[in-house]
Amino acid sequence: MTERNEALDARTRHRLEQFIAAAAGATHAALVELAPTGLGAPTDAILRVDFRDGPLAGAQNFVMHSLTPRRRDENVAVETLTPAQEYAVLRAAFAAGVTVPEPMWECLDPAVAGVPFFVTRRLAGITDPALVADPAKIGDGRALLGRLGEDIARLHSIRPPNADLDFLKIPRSNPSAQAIADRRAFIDRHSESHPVLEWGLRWLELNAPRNSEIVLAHRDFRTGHYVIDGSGGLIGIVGWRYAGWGDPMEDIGNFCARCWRFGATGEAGGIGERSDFYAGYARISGRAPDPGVVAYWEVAAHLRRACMALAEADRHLFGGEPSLEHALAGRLVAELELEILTATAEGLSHDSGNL
Amino acid sequence: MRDRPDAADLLDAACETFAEHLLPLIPDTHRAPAQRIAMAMAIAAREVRAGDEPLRRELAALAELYGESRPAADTREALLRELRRMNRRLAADLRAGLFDPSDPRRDRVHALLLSGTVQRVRETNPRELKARGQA
Repeated sequence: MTERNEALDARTRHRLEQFIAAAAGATHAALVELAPTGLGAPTDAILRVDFRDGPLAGAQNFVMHSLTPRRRDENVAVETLTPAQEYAVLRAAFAAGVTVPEPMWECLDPAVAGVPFFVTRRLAGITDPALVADPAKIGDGRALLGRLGEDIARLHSIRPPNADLDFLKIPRSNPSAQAIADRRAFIDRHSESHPVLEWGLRWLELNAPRNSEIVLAHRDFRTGHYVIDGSGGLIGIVGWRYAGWGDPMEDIGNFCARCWRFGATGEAGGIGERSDFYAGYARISGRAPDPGVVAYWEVAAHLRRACMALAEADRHLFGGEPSLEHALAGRLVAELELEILTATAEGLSHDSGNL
Repeated sequence: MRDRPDAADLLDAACETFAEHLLPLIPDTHRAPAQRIAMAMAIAAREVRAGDEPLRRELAALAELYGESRPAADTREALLRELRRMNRRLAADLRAGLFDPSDPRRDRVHALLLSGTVQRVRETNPRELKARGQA
Protein backbone atom coordinates (compact mmCIF):
# COMPACT_ATOMS: atom_id res chain seq x y z
CA MET A 1 0.00 0.00 0.00
CA THR A 2 1.33 3.43 -0.78
CA GLU A 3 1.84 6.17 1.74
CA ARG A 4 -0.40 9.19 1.57
CA ASN A 5 0.20 11.25 -1.56
CA GLU A 6 2.78 8.85 -2.87
CA ALA A 7 2.09 7.79 -6.42
CA LEU A 8 1.67 4.08 -7.00
CA ASP A 9 4.56 2.74 -9.06
CA ALA A 10 3.71 0.70 -12.14
CA ARG A 11 5.07 -2.59 -10.76
CA THR A 12 3.11 -2.37 -7.52
CA ARG A 13 0.01 -1.47 -9.49
CA HIS A 14 0.48 -4.52 -11.70
CA ARG A 15 1.06 -6.88 -8.76
CA LEU A 16 -1.98 -5.51 -6.95
CA GLU A 17 -4.16 -5.84 -10.05
CA GLN A 18 -3.04 -9.42 -10.53
CA PHE A 19 -3.70 -10.32 -6.90
CA ILE A 20 -7.17 -8.76 -6.94
CA ALA A 21 -8.14 -10.31 -10.27
CA ALA A 22 -7.12 -13.78 -9.06
CA ALA A 23 -8.84 -13.33 -5.70
CA ALA A 24 -12.05 -12.15 -7.39
CA GLY A 25 -12.05 -14.78 -10.13
CA ALA A 26 -11.62 -12.26 -12.96
CA THR A 27 -9.26 -12.41 -15.92
CA HIS A 28 -8.32 -8.77 -15.46
CA ALA A 29 -8.74 -6.07 -12.81
CA ALA A 30 -7.89 -2.42 -13.49
CA LEU A 31 -6.98 -0.28 -10.51
CA VAL A 32 -8.90 2.97 -10.92
CA GLU A 33 -8.07 4.66 -7.64
CA LEU A 34 -6.01 4.08 -4.51
CA ALA A 35 -6.22 7.03 -2.13
CA PRO A 36 -6.33 7.63 1.64
CA THR A 37 -9.86 7.49 3.05
CA GLY A 38 -9.19 10.14 5.66
CA LEU A 39 -11.36 8.01 7.99
CA GLY A 40 -10.62 5.08 10.27
CA ALA A 41 -6.96 4.06 10.50
CA PRO A 42 -4.55 6.52 8.80
CA THR A 43 -3.36 3.73 6.50
CA ASP A 44 -6.87 2.86 5.25
CA ALA A 45 -7.18 3.53 1.53
CA ILE A 46 -10.05 3.71 -0.91
CA LEU A 47 -9.60 1.07 -3.61
CA ARG A 48 -11.64 1.36 -6.80
CA VAL A 49 -11.33 -1.50 -9.22
CA ASP A 50 -12.84 -2.24 -12.61
CA PHE A 51 -13.20 -5.98 -13.20
CA ARG A 52 -13.34 -7.17 -16.80
CA ASP A 53 -15.42 -10.25 -15.92
CA GLY A 54 -16.11 -12.74 -13.13
CA PRO A 55 -18.69 -12.52 -10.35
CA LEU A 56 -17.77 -8.90 -9.61
CA ALA A 57 -17.63 -7.70 -13.23
CA GLY A 58 -17.71 -3.93 -13.53
CA ALA A 59 -16.66 -1.12 -11.18
CA GLN A 60 -16.39 -1.94 -7.47
CA ASN A 61 -15.47 0.10 -4.41
CA PHE A 62 -13.41 -1.31 -1.58
CA VAL A 63 -11.30 -0.19 1.37
CA MET A 64 -7.78 -1.54 1.70
CA HIS A 65 -6.60 -1.91 5.32
CA SER A 66 -2.96 -2.43 6.27
CA LEU A 67 -2.33 -5.55 8.33
CA THR A 68 0.74 -4.01 9.93
CA PRO A 69 0.09 -3.92 13.68
CA ARG A 70 -0.67 -0.43 14.96
CA ARG A 71 1.90 1.29 17.15
CA ARG A 72 1.44 -0.02 20.68
CA ASP A 73 0.61 2.66 23.17
CA GLU A 74 1.79 1.80 26.67
CA ASN A 75 -0.93 3.90 28.21
CA VAL A 76 -4.06 2.49 26.59
CA ALA A 77 -7.21 2.42 28.68
CA VAL A 78 -8.67 -0.43 26.64
CA GLU A 79 -6.78 -3.03 24.60
CA THR A 80 -7.36 -3.02 20.85
CA LEU A 81 -7.24 -5.82 18.28
CA THR A 82 -4.51 -6.03 15.69
CA PRO A 83 -5.77 -5.47 12.12
CA ALA A 84 -5.46 -9.21 11.43
CA GLN A 85 -7.60 -9.99 14.46
CA GLU A 86 -10.07 -7.32 13.40
CA TYR A 87 -10.37 -9.01 10.01
CA ALA A 88 -11.09 -12.37 11.70
CA VAL A 89 -13.80 -10.74 13.85
CA LEU A 90 -15.30 -9.06 10.80
CA ARG A 91 -15.46 -12.40 8.97
CA ALA A 92 -17.13 -14.08 11.95
CA ALA A 93 -19.66 -11.23 12.24
CA PHE A 94 -20.38 -11.32 8.50
CA ALA A 95 -20.87 -15.09 8.60
CA ALA A 96 -23.34 -14.65 11.49
CA GLY A 97 -25.44 -12.29 9.36
CA VAL A 98 -24.36 -9.01 10.94
CA THR A 99 -24.46 -6.07 8.50
CA VAL A 100 -20.78 -5.16 8.15
CA PRO A 101 -18.50 -4.00 5.35
CA GLU A 102 -18.10 -7.35 3.58
CA PRO A 103 -14.64 -8.83 4.19
CA MET A 104 -13.30 -9.69 0.73
CA TRP A 105 -9.68 -10.87 0.64
CA GLU A 106 -6.58 -11.01 2.75
CA CYS A 107 -3.05 -10.75 1.34
CA LEU A 108 -0.31 -11.79 3.75
CA ASP A 109 2.48 -11.47 1.19
CA PRO A 110 4.17 -8.07 1.69
CA ALA A 111 5.72 -8.35 -1.78
CA VAL A 112 2.36 -7.53 -3.40
CA ALA A 113 1.74 -4.04 -2.06
CA GLY A 114 4.62 -3.32 0.33
CA VAL A 115 2.67 -4.41 3.41
CA PRO A 116 0.23 -7.24 4.11
CA PHE A 117 -3.36 -6.04 3.82
CA PHE A 118 -7.01 -7.00 3.79
CA VAL A 119 -9.83 -5.64 1.67
CA THR A 120 -13.44 -4.93 2.60
CA ARG A 121 -16.28 -3.47 0.59
CA ARG A 122 -16.56 0.27 0.90
CA LEU A 123 -19.78 1.54 2.42
CA ALA A 124 -20.90 4.84 0.98
CA GLY A 125 -23.12 6.46 3.56
CA ILE A 126 -23.35 8.57 6.69
CA THR A 127 -21.74 7.94 10.08
CA ASP A 128 -21.56 11.47 11.52
CA PRO A 129 -23.77 11.40 14.65
CA ALA A 130 -24.94 14.96 13.98
CA LEU A 131 -26.31 13.83 10.60
CA VAL A 132 -27.47 10.35 11.60
CA ALA A 133 -30.01 11.78 14.04
CA ASP A 134 -31.58 13.93 11.33
CA PRO A 135 -35.33 13.14 11.22
CA ALA A 136 -35.30 13.96 7.50
CA LYS A 137 -33.22 10.81 7.03
CA ILE A 138 -34.33 8.41 9.73
CA GLY A 139 -37.89 9.61 10.44
CA ASP A 140 -38.69 8.62 14.01
CA GLY A 141 -35.70 6.25 14.03
CA ARG A 142 -37.88 3.23 14.83
CA ALA A 143 -36.94 1.11 11.81
CA LEU A 144 -33.23 1.87 12.17
CA LEU A 145 -33.24 1.03 15.89
CA GLY A 146 -35.05 -2.24 15.19
CA ARG A 147 -32.41 -3.19 12.62
CA LEU A 148 -29.56 -2.26 14.96
CA GLY A 149 -31.13 -4.35 17.73
CA GLU A 150 -31.48 -7.32 15.38
CA ASP A 151 -27.92 -7.01 14.14
CA ILE A 152 -26.28 -6.80 17.54
CA ALA A 153 -28.30 -9.84 18.61
CA ARG A 154 -26.89 -11.72 15.59
CA LEU A 155 -23.40 -10.81 16.72
CA HIS A 156 -24.21 -12.08 20.21
CA SER A 157 -25.12 -15.47 18.78
CA ILE A 158 -21.36 -16.08 18.38
CA ARG A 159 -20.09 -17.75 21.52
CA PRO A 160 -16.81 -19.31 22.68
CA PRO A 161 -15.14 -21.60 21.92
CA ASN A 162 -14.57 -20.51 18.34
CA ALA A 163 -11.46 -21.71 16.55
CA ASP A 164 -11.35 -18.66 14.26
CA LEU A 165 -11.38 -16.32 17.26
CA ASP A 166 -9.05 -18.22 19.59
CA PHE A 167 -6.86 -15.12 20.00
CA LEU A 168 -9.61 -13.38 21.99
CA LYS A 169 -9.12 -13.59 25.74
CA ILE A 170 -11.95 -15.15 27.72
CA PRO A 171 -12.63 -13.02 30.83
CA ARG A 172 -10.96 -14.54 33.87
CA SER A 173 -14.00 -14.14 36.06
CA ASN A 174 -17.27 -12.63 34.89
CA PRO A 175 -17.21 -9.76 32.38
CA SER A 176 -18.12 -7.06 34.91
CA ALA A 177 -15.33 -8.12 37.30
CA GLN A 178 -12.95 -8.04 34.35
CA ALA A 179 -14.12 -4.54 33.38
CA ILE A 180 -13.63 -3.30 36.96
CA ALA A 181 -10.14 -4.85 37.15
CA ASP A 182 -9.17 -3.32 33.78
CA ARG A 183 -10.36 0.17 34.77
CA ARG A 184 -8.57 0.00 38.13
CA ALA A 185 -5.35 -1.18 36.50
CA PHE A 186 -5.51 1.82 34.18
CA ILE A 187 -6.25 4.29 36.99
CA ASP A 188 -3.34 2.88 39.01
CA ARG A 189 -0.98 3.72 36.15
CA HIS A 190 -2.38 7.25 36.00
CA SER A 191 -0.65 10.13 37.70
CA GLU A 192 -3.73 11.52 39.48
CA SER A 193 -6.30 9.84 41.72
CA HIS A 194 -9.93 9.87 40.65
CA PRO A 195 -12.35 9.55 43.56
CA VAL A 196 -15.49 9.76 41.39
CA LEU A 197 -14.26 6.93 39.17
CA GLU A 198 -13.46 4.93 42.32
CA TRP A 199 -16.99 5.63 43.57
CA GLY A 200 -18.38 4.32 40.29
CA LEU A 201 -16.13 1.25 40.19
CA ARG A 202 -17.07 0.30 43.74
CA TRP A 203 -20.72 0.70 42.77
CA LEU A 204 -20.15 -1.63 39.81
CA GLU A 205 -18.52 -4.11 42.17
CA LEU A 206 -21.41 -4.05 44.65
CA ASN A 207 -24.14 -4.15 42.00
CA ALA A 208 -22.72 -6.66 39.51
CA PRO A 209 -25.33 -8.75 37.68
CA ARG A 210 -25.48 -12.27 39.08
CA ASN A 211 -25.65 -14.26 35.89
CA SER A 212 -23.53 -13.27 32.99
CA GLU A 213 -23.19 -14.86 29.59
CA ILE A 214 -20.12 -14.65 27.39
CA VAL A 215 -20.70 -13.75 23.75
CA LEU A 216 -18.83 -11.94 21.01
CA ALA A 217 -19.43 -8.28 21.85
CA HIS A 218 -18.59 -5.29 19.67
CA ARG A 219 -17.60 -3.24 22.75
CA ASP A 220 -17.76 0.11 21.01
CA PHE A 221 -21.30 -0.19 19.65
CA ARG A 222 -22.80 3.29 19.43
CA THR A 223 -24.09 5.99 17.16
CA GLY A 224 -21.09 7.03 15.04
CA HIS A 225 -20.12 3.39 14.52
CA TYR A 226 -22.74 2.41 12.00
CA VAL A 227 -23.30 3.65 8.48
CA ILE A 228 -26.72 4.56 7.10
CA ASP A 229 -27.81 5.34 3.56
CA GLY A 230 -29.65 8.49 2.50
CA SER A 231 -33.01 7.11 3.57
CA GLY A 232 -31.90 5.91 7.00
CA GLY A 233 -31.34 2.25 6.13
CA LEU A 234 -28.54 0.42 7.93
CA ILE A 235 -25.69 -0.46 5.60
CA GLY A 236 -23.02 -1.52 8.06
CA ILE A 237 -21.68 -1.60 11.60
CA VAL A 238 -18.08 -0.39 11.82
CA GLY A 239 -15.43 0.35 14.49
CA TRP A 240 -14.57 -3.24 15.44
CA ARG A 241 -11.15 -2.72 17.00
CA TYR A 242 -12.34 -3.27 20.61
CA ALA A 243 -14.40 -6.41 19.93
CA GLY A 244 -14.03 -9.31 22.33
CA TRP A 245 -15.74 -11.89 24.50
CA GLY A 246 -18.01 -10.07 26.89
CA ASP A 247 -21.46 -9.64 28.37
CA PRO A 248 -24.09 -9.05 25.66
CA MET A 249 -25.67 -6.30 27.73
CA GLU A 250 -22.41 -4.33 27.61
CA ASP A 251 -23.21 -3.52 23.97
CA ILE A 252 -26.83 -2.63 24.77
CA GLY A 253 -25.75 -0.41 27.69
CA ASN A 254 -23.04 1.28 25.66
CA PHE A 255 -25.47 2.03 22.84
CA CYS A 256 -27.97 3.63 25.24
CA ALA A 257 -25.44 5.41 27.50
CA ARG A 258 -26.03 9.14 27.85
CA CYS A 259 -22.46 9.89 26.74
CA TRP A 260 -23.22 8.42 23.30
CA ARG A 261 -26.45 10.32 22.67
CA PHE A 262 -24.63 13.40 21.38
CA GLY A 263 -26.90 15.78 23.28
CA ALA A 264 -30.04 14.35 21.65
CA THR A 265 -32.99 13.16 23.73
CA GLY A 266 -33.58 9.66 22.29
CA GLU A 267 -32.29 7.27 24.94
CA ALA A 268 -31.29 4.68 22.33
CA GLY A 269 -28.18 6.19 20.74
CA GLY A 270 -29.72 9.65 20.61
CA ILE A 271 -32.00 8.56 17.79
CA GLY A 272 -35.13 7.15 19.41
CA GLU A 273 -36.83 5.01 22.04
CA ARG A 274 -35.20 2.10 23.81
CA SER A 275 -38.30 -0.02 23.22
CA ASP A 276 -37.72 -0.17 19.44
CA PHE A 277 -34.08 -1.13 19.93
CA TYR A 278 -34.91 -3.73 22.59
CA ALA A 279 -37.72 -5.18 20.43
CA GLY A 280 -35.30 -5.68 17.52
CA TYR A 281 -32.88 -7.41 19.88
CA ALA A 282 -35.63 -9.69 21.20
CA ARG A 283 -36.79 -10.64 17.69
CA ILE A 284 -33.47 -12.34 16.99
CA SER A 285 -32.21 -13.37 20.43
CA GLY A 286 -35.59 -14.44 21.79
CA ARG A 287 -35.04 -12.35 24.91
CA ALA A 288 -35.70 -8.72 25.76
CA PRO A 289 -32.82 -6.93 27.50
CA ASP A 290 -33.29 -6.55 31.28
CA PRO A 291 -33.48 -2.76 31.92
CA GLY A 292 -31.70 -3.09 35.27
CA VAL A 293 -28.75 -4.91 33.71
CA VAL A 294 -28.63 -2.42 30.83
CA ALA A 295 -28.54 0.45 33.35
CA TYR A 296 -25.59 -1.26 35.06
CA TRP A 297 -23.66 -1.42 31.79
CA GLU A 298 -24.51 2.22 31.09
CA VAL A 299 -22.63 3.19 34.26
CA ALA A 300 -19.79 0.90 33.13
CA ALA A 301 -19.82 2.62 29.70
CA HIS A 302 -19.23 6.01 31.33
CA LEU A 303 -16.37 4.64 33.40
CA ARG A 304 -14.83 3.10 30.32
CA ARG A 305 -15.17 6.28 28.32
CA ALA A 306 -13.78 8.38 31.19
CA CYS A 307 -10.65 6.20 31.27
CA MET A 308 -10.32 6.45 27.50
CA ALA A 309 -10.63 10.25 27.74
CA LEU A 310 -7.91 10.35 30.42
CA ALA A 311 -5.65 8.24 28.20
CA GLU A 312 -6.31 10.57 25.28
CA ALA A 313 -5.49 13.65 27.35
CA ASP A 314 -2.27 11.94 28.46
CA ARG A 315 -1.24 11.66 24.82
CA HIS A 316 -1.42 15.45 24.70
CA LEU A 317 0.23 16.00 28.08
CA PHE A 318 2.94 13.35 28.14
CA GLY A 319 2.70 11.22 25.00
CA GLY A 320 4.39 13.53 22.54
CA GLU A 321 1.16 13.99 20.57
CA PRO A 322 0.06 17.52 21.47
CA SER A 323 -3.32 18.30 19.97
CA LEU A 324 -6.29 20.38 21.01
CA GLU A 325 -8.59 17.43 20.34
CA HIS A 326 -6.66 15.21 22.77
CA ALA A 327 -6.40 18.06 25.28
CA LEU A 328 -10.16 18.66 25.32
CA ALA A 329 -10.79 14.95 25.95
CA GLY A 330 -9.36 15.57 29.42
CA ARG A 331 -12.10 18.09 30.06
CA LEU A 332 -14.82 15.67 29.00
CA VAL A 333 -14.17 13.61 32.13
CA ALA A 334 -16.17 15.98 34.38
CA GLU A 335 -19.48 15.41 32.61
CA LEU A 336 -18.90 11.67 32.39
CA GLU A 337 -18.31 11.68 36.14
CA LEU A 338 -21.47 13.73 36.65
CA GLU A 339 -23.48 11.00 34.93
CA ILE A 340 -21.76 8.30 37.02
CA LEU A 341 -22.67 10.10 40.25
CA THR A 342 -26.23 10.74 39.09
CA ALA A 343 -26.85 7.18 37.94
CA THR A 344 -25.53 5.71 41.20
CA ALA A 345 -27.35 8.06 43.61
CA GLU A 346 -30.22 5.68 44.33
CA GLY A 347 -30.76 5.13 48.04
CA LEU A 348 -29.01 8.33 49.06
CA SER A 349 -31.01 10.80 51.08
CA HIS A 350 -29.27 14.02 50.15
CA ASP A 351 -30.72 16.03 47.33
CA SER A 352 -28.78 15.51 44.12
CA GLY A 353 -31.09 17.91 42.33
CA ASN A 354 -32.69 17.11 39.03
CA LEU A 355 -29.42 15.99 37.53
CA MET B 1 -1.15 45.77 39.66
CA ARG B 2 -2.09 44.78 36.12
CA ASP B 3 -4.10 46.93 33.78
CA ARG B 4 -7.67 46.03 32.91
CA PRO B 5 -9.44 44.25 31.31
CA ASP B 6 -8.25 41.15 33.14
CA ALA B 7 -7.47 37.70 31.67
CA ALA B 8 -11.07 36.44 31.90
CA ASP B 9 -12.44 39.58 30.23
CA LEU B 10 -9.91 39.30 27.42
CA LEU B 11 -10.74 35.65 26.84
CA ASP B 12 -14.48 36.43 26.86
CA ALA B 13 -14.00 39.15 24.28
CA ALA B 14 -11.82 36.87 22.15
CA CYS B 15 -14.43 34.08 22.34
CA GLU B 16 -17.22 36.43 21.35
CA THR B 17 -15.33 37.87 18.40
CA PHE B 18 -14.29 34.43 17.23
CA ALA B 19 -17.80 32.95 17.51
CA GLU B 20 -19.60 35.91 15.96
CA HIS B 21 -17.25 37.06 13.24
CA LEU B 22 -14.96 34.17 12.30
CA LEU B 23 -16.73 30.87 12.97
CA PRO B 24 -19.51 31.54 10.41
CA LEU B 25 -16.87 32.12 7.72
CA ILE B 26 -14.99 28.90 8.33
CA PRO B 27 -15.76 26.17 5.77
CA ASP B 28 -17.26 22.86 6.93
CA THR B 29 -13.95 21.08 6.33
CA HIS B 30 -12.32 23.13 9.11
CA ARG B 31 -15.29 23.65 11.37
CA ALA B 32 -14.40 20.94 13.92
CA PRO B 33 -10.97 22.38 14.88
CA ALA B 34 -12.46 25.89 14.90
CA GLN B 35 -15.17 24.80 17.29
CA ARG B 36 -12.53 23.18 19.49
CA ILE B 37 -10.63 26.47 19.66
CA ALA B 38 -13.82 28.26 20.72
CA MET B 39 -14.53 25.58 23.32
CA ALA B 40 -11.01 25.67 24.77
CA MET B 41 -11.09 29.47 25.09
CA ALA B 42 -14.50 29.39 26.74
CA ILE B 43 -13.40 26.76 29.28
CA ALA B 44 -10.25 28.76 30.06
CA ALA B 45 -12.29 31.96 30.53
CA ARG B 46 -14.72 30.31 32.95
CA GLU B 47 -11.86 28.66 34.86
CA VAL B 48 -9.91 31.91 35.21
CA ARG B 49 -13.06 33.69 36.39
CA ALA B 50 -13.84 30.99 38.99
CA GLY B 51 -10.27 31.20 40.33
CA ASP B 52 -9.12 28.98 43.22
CA GLU B 53 -12.25 29.38 45.29
CA PRO B 54 -13.83 26.07 44.14
CA LEU B 55 -10.58 24.25 44.97
CA ARG B 56 -10.53 25.77 48.46
CA ARG B 57 -14.15 24.74 49.02
CA GLU B 58 -13.32 21.19 47.90
CA LEU B 59 -10.36 21.03 50.28
CA ALA B 60 -12.46 22.34 53.17
CA ALA B 61 -15.14 19.67 52.49
CA LEU B 62 -12.50 16.92 52.38
CA ALA B 63 -10.89 18.14 55.62
CA GLU B 64 -14.30 18.17 57.29
CA LEU B 65 -15.08 14.63 56.10
CA TYR B 66 -11.86 13.34 57.63
CA GLY B 67 -12.04 15.52 60.75
CA GLU B 68 -8.80 17.27 59.90
CA SER B 69 -8.19 20.82 60.94
CA ARG B 70 -8.22 23.15 57.96
CA PRO B 71 -4.97 22.29 56.14
CA ALA B 72 -2.44 25.04 55.53
CA ALA B 73 -2.81 26.04 51.87
CA ASP B 74 -1.48 29.57 51.66
CA THR B 75 0.01 29.21 48.23
CA ARG B 76 -1.47 27.64 45.09
CA GLU B 77 1.17 24.90 45.19
CA ALA B 78 0.25 24.05 48.78
CA LEU B 79 -3.44 24.05 47.89
CA LEU B 80 -2.91 21.63 44.99
CA ARG B 81 -0.60 19.44 47.08
CA GLU B 82 -3.15 19.16 49.87
CA LEU B 83 -5.97 18.47 47.41
CA ARG B 84 -3.93 15.69 45.79
CA ARG B 85 -3.12 14.17 49.16
CA MET B 86 -6.71 14.15 50.35
CA ASN B 87 -8.20 12.99 47.06
CA ARG B 88 -5.72 10.11 47.02
CA ARG B 89 -6.92 9.14 50.48
CA LEU B 90 -10.58 9.40 49.46
CA ALA B 91 -9.99 7.36 46.30
CA ALA B 92 -8.23 4.60 48.27
CA ASP B 93 -10.96 4.58 50.93
CA LEU B 94 -13.68 4.32 48.30
CA ARG B 95 -11.95 1.37 46.66
CA ALA B 96 -11.48 -0.31 50.04
CA GLY B 97 -15.23 -0.08 50.64
CA LEU B 98 -15.00 2.39 53.53
CA PHE B 99 -18.00 4.35 52.27
CA ASP B 100 -20.16 1.41 51.21
CA PRO B 101 -23.95 1.65 51.70
CA SER B 102 -23.67 0.64 55.37
CA ASP B 103 -21.48 3.63 56.23
CA PRO B 104 -23.32 6.68 57.60
CA ARG B 105 -20.91 9.02 55.81
CA ARG B 106 -21.89 7.70 52.37
CA ASP B 107 -24.40 10.51 51.73
CA ARG B 108 -21.83 13.11 52.66
CA VAL B 109 -19.19 11.59 50.39
CA HIS B 110 -21.59 11.53 47.46
CA ALA B 111 -22.62 15.14 48.12
CA LEU B 112 -18.97 16.18 48.28
CA LEU B 113 -18.10 14.43 45.02
CA LEU B 114 -21.23 15.76 43.32
CA SER B 115 -20.61 19.35 44.36
CA GLY B 116 -17.02 19.28 43.08
CA THR B 117 -18.09 17.60 39.84
CA VAL B 118 -20.95 20.04 39.20
CA GLN B 119 -18.46 22.88 39.64
CA ARG B 120 -16.10 21.29 37.10
CA VAL B 121 -18.93 20.83 34.59
CA ARG B 122 -19.98 24.45 35.22
CA GLU B 123 -16.54 25.37 33.91
CA THR B 124 -16.25 22.80 31.10
CA ASN B 125 -19.78 22.54 29.73
CA PRO B 126 -22.46 24.65 31.44
CA ARG B 127 -24.96 23.61 28.75
CA GLU B 128 -24.86 20.07 30.13
CA LEU B 129 -25.98 21.37 33.53
CA LYS B 130 -28.77 23.31 31.86
CA ALA B 131 -29.88 20.17 29.99
CA ARG B 132 -30.02 18.38 33.34
CA GLY B 133 -31.99 21.22 34.95
CA GLN B 134 -29.07 22.25 37.15
CA ALA B 135 -27.88 25.47 35.52
